[in-house]
Amino acid sequence: MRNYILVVTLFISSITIAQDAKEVIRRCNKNLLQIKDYYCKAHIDFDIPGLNIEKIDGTIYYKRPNKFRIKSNGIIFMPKQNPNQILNIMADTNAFMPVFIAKETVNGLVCDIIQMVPLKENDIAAAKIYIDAKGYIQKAEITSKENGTAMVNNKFDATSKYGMPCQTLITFDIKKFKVPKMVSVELNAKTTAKPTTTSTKTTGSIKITYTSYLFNTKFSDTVFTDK
Amino acid sequence: MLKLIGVELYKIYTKPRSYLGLLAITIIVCLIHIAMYSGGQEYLDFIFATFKDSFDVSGKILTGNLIAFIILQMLVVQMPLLVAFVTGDIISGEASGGTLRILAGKPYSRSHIFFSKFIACAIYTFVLVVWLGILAVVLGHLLFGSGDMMVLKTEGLVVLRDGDILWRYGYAFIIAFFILLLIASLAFCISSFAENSITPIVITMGLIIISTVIGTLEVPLFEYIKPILFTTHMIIWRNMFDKPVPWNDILLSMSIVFSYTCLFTGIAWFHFTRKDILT
Repeated sequence: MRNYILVVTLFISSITIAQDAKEVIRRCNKNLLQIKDYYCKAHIDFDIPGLNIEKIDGTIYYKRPNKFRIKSNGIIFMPKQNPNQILNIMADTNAFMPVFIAKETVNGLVCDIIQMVPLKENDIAAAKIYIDAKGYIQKAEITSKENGTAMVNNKFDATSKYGMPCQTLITFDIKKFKVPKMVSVELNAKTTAKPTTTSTKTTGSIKITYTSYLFNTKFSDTVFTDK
Repeated sequence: MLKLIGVELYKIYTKPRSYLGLLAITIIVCLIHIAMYSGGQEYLDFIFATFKDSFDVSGKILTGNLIAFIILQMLVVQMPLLVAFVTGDIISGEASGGTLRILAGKPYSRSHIFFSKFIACAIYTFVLVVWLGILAVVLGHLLFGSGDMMVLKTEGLVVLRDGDILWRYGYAFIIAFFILLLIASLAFCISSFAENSITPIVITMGLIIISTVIGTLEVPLFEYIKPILFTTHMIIWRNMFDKPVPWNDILLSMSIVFSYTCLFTGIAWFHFTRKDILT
């Protein structure tokens, strides 16, 4: 009888937790689902070991469900886990089951931590989303099978609309680069006293600062394909 | 002196072998341009595969800047040979042809004759470097356009922004000129001892190959020799594409290059001004 009560209690509480998680996701999607497309200016700073690259300005284009592009006049390196991935995870409610884990304070705000468990075969093994009372994603941890874990930290300001951040810091795992001398053609290169790119770090980070968001302007799809 | 330099330049101008270098550069560079134009993206995908595994890389990669860099890297071995073809012949060629004795009989000092030949060699080397620059950078930009440049290094990758590249090429070509002048002075030095034109060319290339092999082998014994090998400093132009530019390393290498140039030229001058010219 005691065991029966325990099982029933656990079952009911799991349903309640699932409902709580879905409620948090609904709160978040209430903002995000209003976005059909957006574009904005982006300023990108790189801190990637083994990669010596300067900051760059560009324009980010997004269109539902999963069209995303950063357009600029120069070369950009983005981790495979780009910020667009969170929008996809949140939007696809059939592919992920939300599970409420706990509450935690992030950026001075109390957030619900929701674990998104993939229901189908997916490159994303798990995603932990930290959502505040407004439904804004303050933080996310995305673990993919191929590319390790990426941490996304968002910042919002008074002008933030539809849950889109004004700044995102993506921290991600990277493999240590080692290019053979034959490929780099540094056959008898003199080793410099201070190598410009060597580091023992195995995590890199990219900071994107967004400005001048424009939502739902129905821009042409050609921005995703043109050169 | 100017008249002598003019005469020496005219001799270079009239010799068919002087055009071999220009022709070889033109053919090699044009072949690389054609190859890159047709299948450059596949080549770059292979080269940058390590990075594309971890990142989504967006932006134009196949640019005139990158192609020019690849060309310069590929010509590291060939350019000294092309320089040695002419500079190795400039004294010994005349010795074997019997015109050196006639020249020495003119009312000019041996030093004047020597330095007019050396300056003519330097001008020829300069023309080669400028021609390489025009074909690699200017033609590269016309064919592939401008854009950022990815420089692959053993420790990683350096990405240079478009507006931050051309001045680096300027310095790289100046450095390349002085490095080739070192090769010219070596060939010139051997030429002053030789009685035929093949020997200086063969010895110069032999020395370059031996030094390069020693420099490539990562054996502890050679680690002590490497810093004094002139071939170690021959690719210092590459450092112009580092960020930040390691100016101290470049200055050190250039001072070694200058020292070798002065040493080879000094030996050649010492021998030339004292030798018995019998042919």
